[in-house]
Amino acid sequence: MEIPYTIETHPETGLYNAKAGIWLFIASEVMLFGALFTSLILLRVSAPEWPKGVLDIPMATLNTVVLISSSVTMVLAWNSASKRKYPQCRMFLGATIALALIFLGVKYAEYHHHLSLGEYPSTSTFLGIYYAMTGLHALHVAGGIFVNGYFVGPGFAMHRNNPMRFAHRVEIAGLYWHFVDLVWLFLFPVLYLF
Amino acid sequence: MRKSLRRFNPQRVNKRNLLFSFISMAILTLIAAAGAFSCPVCYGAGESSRFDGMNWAILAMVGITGAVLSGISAFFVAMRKRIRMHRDGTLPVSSKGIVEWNNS
Repeated sequence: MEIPYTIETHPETGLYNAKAGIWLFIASEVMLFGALFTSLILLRVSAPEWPKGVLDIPMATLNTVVLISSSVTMVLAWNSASKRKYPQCRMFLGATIALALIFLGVKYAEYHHHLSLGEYPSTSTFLGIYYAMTGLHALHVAGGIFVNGYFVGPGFAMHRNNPMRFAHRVEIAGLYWHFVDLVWLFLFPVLYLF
Repeated sequence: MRKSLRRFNPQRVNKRNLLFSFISMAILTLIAAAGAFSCPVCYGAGESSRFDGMNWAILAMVGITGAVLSGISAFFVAMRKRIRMHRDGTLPVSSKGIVEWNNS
């Protein structure tokens, strides 16, 4: 039995099923991160003092540049998949994974620095919400690496039998990746800058 | 116990006793609830920063939830329109099949 509407659009939704699914998933993710941002607002406005200069801004700026670059490579991967330029697509997907690994590496260095100073999530509410939000975001980045890794590796063979579906898969992964990038673009100013 | 259950007949319950039970329960609840009131001095005071934090957090949560639910509602409204067009045969069709949102 074949799964319906994996390539052609559903006449009623106007989307192929995977795209409708990813938008619903992103909506649920907005609620998840929204709850955490709300917690941050509650803690920050309620706190008599909020620590400043605790986090490493240059490192976080580097991570922002890295993540934005990875979004660009993800779009290029989708574009290559749509035009059936598969070696290019694989290269751009690989670049996205490499940039995501750099992001996680920088995050690890940040965490290591704080933990070596004895700054644990239980030390203060600021560190608690910092670890919770950036940790959850890092898990999402790791999820993106896993999905893109599948497309570069075992999932890449799909382009031979079903090129349109493969391009759609890359597009779906791209939508998720842009969402992860967007979350960081909110996290960076609220945690590091202000 | 078994005998009392056998004897129990809901149709024979005295209405006056039932009313008395309800009134007593209501009075007891009102008296007991006084102990559960929050202290108006330390929590909920108009000038405290915690009060502001709570207000901003509620506003943020309402905003986020409202935006997501509005998006979902808009999707359903647009979908309903598409279903109608599909039924009437007026849905624009491209060479690749039925067009997506951004092309329609």
